[in-house]
Amino acid sequence: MGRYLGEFEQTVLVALVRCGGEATGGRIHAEILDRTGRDSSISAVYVTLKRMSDKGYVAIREPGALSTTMGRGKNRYTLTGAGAAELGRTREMFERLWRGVDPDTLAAT
Amino acid sequence: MTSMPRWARLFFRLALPAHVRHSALADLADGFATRAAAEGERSAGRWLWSQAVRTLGPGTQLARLGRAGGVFGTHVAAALRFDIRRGARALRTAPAFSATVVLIIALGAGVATALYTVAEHTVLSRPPYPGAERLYVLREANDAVSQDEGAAPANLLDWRARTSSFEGIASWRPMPLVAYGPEVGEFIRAARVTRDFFDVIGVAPEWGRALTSGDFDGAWYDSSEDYIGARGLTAIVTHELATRRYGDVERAVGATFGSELGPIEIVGVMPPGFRAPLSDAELWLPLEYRPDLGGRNSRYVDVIARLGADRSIAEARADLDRVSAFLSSEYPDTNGGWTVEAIDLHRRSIAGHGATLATLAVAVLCLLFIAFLNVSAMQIARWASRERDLALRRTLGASRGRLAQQLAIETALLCAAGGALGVVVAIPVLRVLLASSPRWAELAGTVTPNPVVFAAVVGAMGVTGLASAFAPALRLSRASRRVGSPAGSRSVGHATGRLRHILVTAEVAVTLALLVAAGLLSRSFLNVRSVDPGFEAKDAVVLRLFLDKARYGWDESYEDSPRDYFPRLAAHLETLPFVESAGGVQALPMLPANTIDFARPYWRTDEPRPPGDSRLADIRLITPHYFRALGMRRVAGREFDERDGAEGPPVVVVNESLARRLFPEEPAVGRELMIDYPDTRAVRIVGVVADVRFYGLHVEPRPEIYLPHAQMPYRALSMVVKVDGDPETSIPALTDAVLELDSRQPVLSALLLDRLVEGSVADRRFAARVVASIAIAAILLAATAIYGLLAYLVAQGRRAIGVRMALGARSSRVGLEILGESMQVVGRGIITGLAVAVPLVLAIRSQLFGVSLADGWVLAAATALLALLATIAAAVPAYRAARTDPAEVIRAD
Repeated sequence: MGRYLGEFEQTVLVALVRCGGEATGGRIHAEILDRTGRDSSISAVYVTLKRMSDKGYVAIREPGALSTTMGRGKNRYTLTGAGAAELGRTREMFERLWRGVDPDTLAAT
Repeated sequence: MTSMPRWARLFFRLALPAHVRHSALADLADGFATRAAAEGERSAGRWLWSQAVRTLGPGTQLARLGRAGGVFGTHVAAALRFDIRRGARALRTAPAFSATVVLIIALGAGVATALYTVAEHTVLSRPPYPGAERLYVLREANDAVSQDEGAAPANLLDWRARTSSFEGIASWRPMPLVAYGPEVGEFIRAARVTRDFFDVIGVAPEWGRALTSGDFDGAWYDSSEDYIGARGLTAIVTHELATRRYGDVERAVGATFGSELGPIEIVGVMPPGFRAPLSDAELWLPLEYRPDLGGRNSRYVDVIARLGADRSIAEARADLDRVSAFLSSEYPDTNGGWTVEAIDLHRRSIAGHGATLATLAVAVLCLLFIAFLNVSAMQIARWASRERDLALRRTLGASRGRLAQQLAIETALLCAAGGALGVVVAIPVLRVLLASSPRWAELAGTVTPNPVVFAAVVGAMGVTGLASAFAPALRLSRASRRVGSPAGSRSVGHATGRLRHILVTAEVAVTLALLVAAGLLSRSFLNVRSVDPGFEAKDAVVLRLFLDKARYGWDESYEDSPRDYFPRLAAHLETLPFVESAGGVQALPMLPANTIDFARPYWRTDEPRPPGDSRLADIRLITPHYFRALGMRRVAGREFDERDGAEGPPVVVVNESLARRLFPEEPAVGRELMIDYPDTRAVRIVGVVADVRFYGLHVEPRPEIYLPHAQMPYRALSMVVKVDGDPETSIPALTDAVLELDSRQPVLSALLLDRLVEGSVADRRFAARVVASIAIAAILLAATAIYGLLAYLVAQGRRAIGVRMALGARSSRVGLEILGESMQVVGRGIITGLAVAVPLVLAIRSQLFGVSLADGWVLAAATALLALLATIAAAVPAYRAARTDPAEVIRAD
């Protein structure tokens, strides 16, 4: 098994899922801001999406020629099956890790 | 929708990789617009900044962007990251070098930018009127009269009628105005203006209306400035006055207030921040010159003219010359010898600032020059000392481009650090510069350092540093690739050593020149300070008074008369326990421009007036205790007393300058002289007083005639009050005493005489201080450079020194030799510096007072100081060389 998703990668992919499985980078950025209060860098979101697509976790749909020339066209990103599986695997790993950890113990440390 | 600023568009376009650029830009634009709409553009701008920083910030996105492949392609980005890291590490390993260069850049850029910013907001910015480049101040000039004059109204009317080069010729005349309030009166700084005044300036009221010809018809004043029109006056006011008196502009328009000139109706309000040229007026009244006005010899009005759109100033001057020639022939008595000068308004408004700023500019240029030399010398030394390292890298296959890139990156890092620190330097320096000059104090707080100039200076230093570093690096890459090739490294070391000698010589030279200039300016300041003004400014308070014209006049129809009021006021003030004496004068020492200061012709009674004689004496109308209150010295005769009342024979007191000029051989007391005030008449001299420096400590005294106020009463006097105790705390009691006498008569202003005297040398002190601080900075930089040079030479020559000492050379001899080498450089620098000082001293000549341009003390002190510091700077490396352990050196080989 390879490495698990990084924290920001996970954040981006979960935000993509929350957006209904297909969204623009800007929409994902806004979702992260809404849910976590974290105003991440837009370019970071895009670069992460690009990396995820290089790994096959995300599919990119380019805008049509017309919308591009009109200046408002943006890439749309969709979570692939591999992406969903990887996200699940990472989550499972974290759940396994957390299982049995008593929150009170954590608070007492 | 608010669109994203251009810088951001450009930045993200460059910074973002191609495949995400389009989408990310669109999202950034959306994000910006949304935030701008919700929280305002400032907040949106801050968000954009944070996005930009996080895109490029260290260790954040650049790396990932690079990996993803964009403008910063994989290799370039990786190499760049590597070089930045290595550059930073290299700079950390040479902390002394890095800190010095960063400090030099910060100091040079910070100080230069601060000074440029001051200049930009004072001398370089044109007055804020539309087409200001076509505005000229016109005034009459006569070679035989050194004084600044205005224009006589009758002459002004002729210029208007007989020239065609100007679109309009307007004039104004300042006049403090007593405005009645609900309880006590208030002074308003008013000016009376002719009908085309606002058209000439090109600014119209923003609320209400302009003054129209109806307002001007019959807006006449008599010779004592009483309004003699048939109806109430109308006025335009500043936005500030309208809001101060009425709370808001709308209520001010149409409002009428009572004043000494009768009721005044406000018809228009100027735009906020408007200031009339060369004046601090806040209210403008119409002024019409009467057709029968004579007096071509009373040149008292200020004139401003707008040049015609298609006319050149040369044409206009020829036009004015023609008219003044005509007036000279028509009225030879009053206009003979007089011409008309047209002075660019911009130049006229900065008159006086110019010399100080020019001095500072020269000093800062010198500092910048030294800073550049220093950056250059430091860079050369550093790269020359790293030649082994570079040669090694070349041998291992580094391309010249890579070496150059590393060089550029280290320089850029230094510039970035120096720039950041420079901002920290520039802001307080700018503040101190503005605050320490009374002329500019009002700008402090509103002005920020000019970012473009700052970036340009930092950039130029970077380019200099880069260019200097390239020299050794290029030589090296051309030289042998063998590691540590003796021939290669020696030739590089030798060539850069020579270059550094030249740089340090130049640095010493410029520093010496600066020191000389600083010395001369400081001595001038001390000389001016030690000048005896001829009066005692200490413990003297000045109360400026302009009597209410409606109530104080010359005949029975008025409530009171100025002739009686002022002696009564003086007597009343003298009853206060802490007042020693009080006396009034119509013009105020050190502040003549703001009071009524005028000069009239005079000549001997027993000789006919010499033809073409235009010698003038300054007229001072005084009450009896004036000389005493001002602490002036009586040389002969007596002061004025009760004998010199209205009915007494006409008498005067003159100053020594006039007595010497008119009666060089015999005593002046008891003699008569002719004066042309108020008309030609003979007066008897009853006393002679010592000269006073009325126009500033650096200005030679001029002939003065003192007349008793009782014989020549005047409404506007400044009461000089000599107090026992702290003058500042006595001001409230004094102004209360004035109101006790008449509750509706306010004091225009209360001033401390010694502050006025201080103020007259403020520019000089300012220049001396700043140039001295710059010279200190320069001398520190020069010492650093000398130390750096020698330390480098010693490090280079360590092997040779070691060998010589192994062969028996004495360590003291080695040390002295090194010291001698530095003294050679310093000596050459000092000789060059004396030559460099010549143009510098000539440039500041106008600022000097009481010192010769080649003042021996200053030259000797500057040279000695520089030589001393240079010796100290050289002593450390020389000592280190003398302590070289030969065994260790030879082992290291």
